[in-house]
Amino acid sequence: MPALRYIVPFSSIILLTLIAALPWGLPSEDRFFLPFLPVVAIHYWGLRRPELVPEWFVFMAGLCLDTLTHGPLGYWALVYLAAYAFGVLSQPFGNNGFMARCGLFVVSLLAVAFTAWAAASLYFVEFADWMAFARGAGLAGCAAVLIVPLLYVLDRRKAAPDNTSLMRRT
Amino acid sequence: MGRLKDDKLNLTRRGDSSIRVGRVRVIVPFLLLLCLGLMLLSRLNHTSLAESRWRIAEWLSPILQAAMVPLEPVRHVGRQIAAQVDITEELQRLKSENQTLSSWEWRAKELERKLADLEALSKVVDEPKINFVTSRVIADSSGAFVRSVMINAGSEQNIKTGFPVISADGLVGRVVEIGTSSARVLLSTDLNSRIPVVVGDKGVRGVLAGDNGSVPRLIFLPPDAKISIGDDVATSGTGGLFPRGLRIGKVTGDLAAPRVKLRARLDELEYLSVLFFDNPALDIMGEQNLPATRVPASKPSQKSADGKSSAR
Repeated sequence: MPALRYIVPFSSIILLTLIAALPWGLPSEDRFFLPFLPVVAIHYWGLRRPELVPEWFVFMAGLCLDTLTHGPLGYWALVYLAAYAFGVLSQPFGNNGFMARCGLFVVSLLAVAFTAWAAASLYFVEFADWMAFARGAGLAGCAAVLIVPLLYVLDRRKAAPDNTSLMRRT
Repeated sequence: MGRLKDDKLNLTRRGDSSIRVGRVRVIVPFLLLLCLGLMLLSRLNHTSLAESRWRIAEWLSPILQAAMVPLEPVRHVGRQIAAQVDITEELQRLKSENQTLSSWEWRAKELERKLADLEALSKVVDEPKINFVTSRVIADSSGAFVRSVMINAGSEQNIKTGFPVISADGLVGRVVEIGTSSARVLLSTDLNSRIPVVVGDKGVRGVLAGDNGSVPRLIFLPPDAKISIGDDVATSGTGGLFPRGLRIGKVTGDLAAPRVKLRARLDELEYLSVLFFDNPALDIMGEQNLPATRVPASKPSQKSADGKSSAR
């Protein structure tokens, strides 16, 4: 069932987007990292299997979060698309081992945080507090230590043998 | 063969021509431009956009409610851990608070009796009791832009735009958008929140203004206002948006630019009560959005589990 291959990328992004919208009881300053969680999954799939995650789906995930969090429409969609683009653009460097991929992820996360900060500043027509974005990205980076291995395991289990030529393996 | 089978899935896959390592497709810049366009429309506060957004949010609310079921044990464990961490400090605080409250209880009863006598002498018109419904928080949005929560009660429960929302600790905010079975509550910390308040024993009037931080500002205080740190802040009822006397918090920070430490823990909201307080100001202005079948405040469709009829 080729459609099954799409389930893991789709459901992982949907789940993390849903997690970002739920009330966790965290202080408002600290919960800003939650919308950065889908960035981890989007970057992962963008880097490793962009053929399984269409761009419109990333856009819709961001739009869904914008709707649920009542922020400006298109904001998280833009950030998630940026994360996806950074993931895809990192592909040529993704074959240089585990440390290289970690480095790419950190650089992409910083670039995504900067994009988010720039978009927020543009929206408010004044410089937004960059600390909130830096803290959000930092915490999302820490959360990636748990998320990425999980995605990797699920990715391996669902990998179709006939598509190995298209995949970027470790 | 497998790849040929995959080609049937045109909707969810990138074509073979698009699988070029390290290159994004043309659709990405297009979608990015679409995002910027949507942000611009949001900035301009386009009404059709706001309406469709709320419709989608309402459509998604059952999913959020379902997602809350497995979340609840996680939140419970988190609360237990937090409670265990500062249990000693909390015990000390409660002991000292209990001592203070014991003396205040007797005094409050005396004052209540005197007030009743004075009201009877002055033939004061009784303030109507305010009914309420209690609902659950199903989504939280505390990003860079907005401070609001979504609750699982809406027009089906006779909730209307503008109704004040409280938690067990004090005022939380007001309803700004309603759907059939969900509503959005703008928190008092939001950038767009403005609440007329009264400060301290002297009843200094001002406005509580949110700035997306956890401690909102006190603005428009009279120049000669005498307030001090720790003064109680409550709603003044000015403008008719909120009933008078809802507890909000205490004055904190610098008196040159005073702020209010809120009683309600807006980060840990679980259940909120929506007060059926019909806004007289909106009635005077001829609010168009309110449904024609306006239910009197004395006849709510639901009450909270404890069956209390007054929220004061």
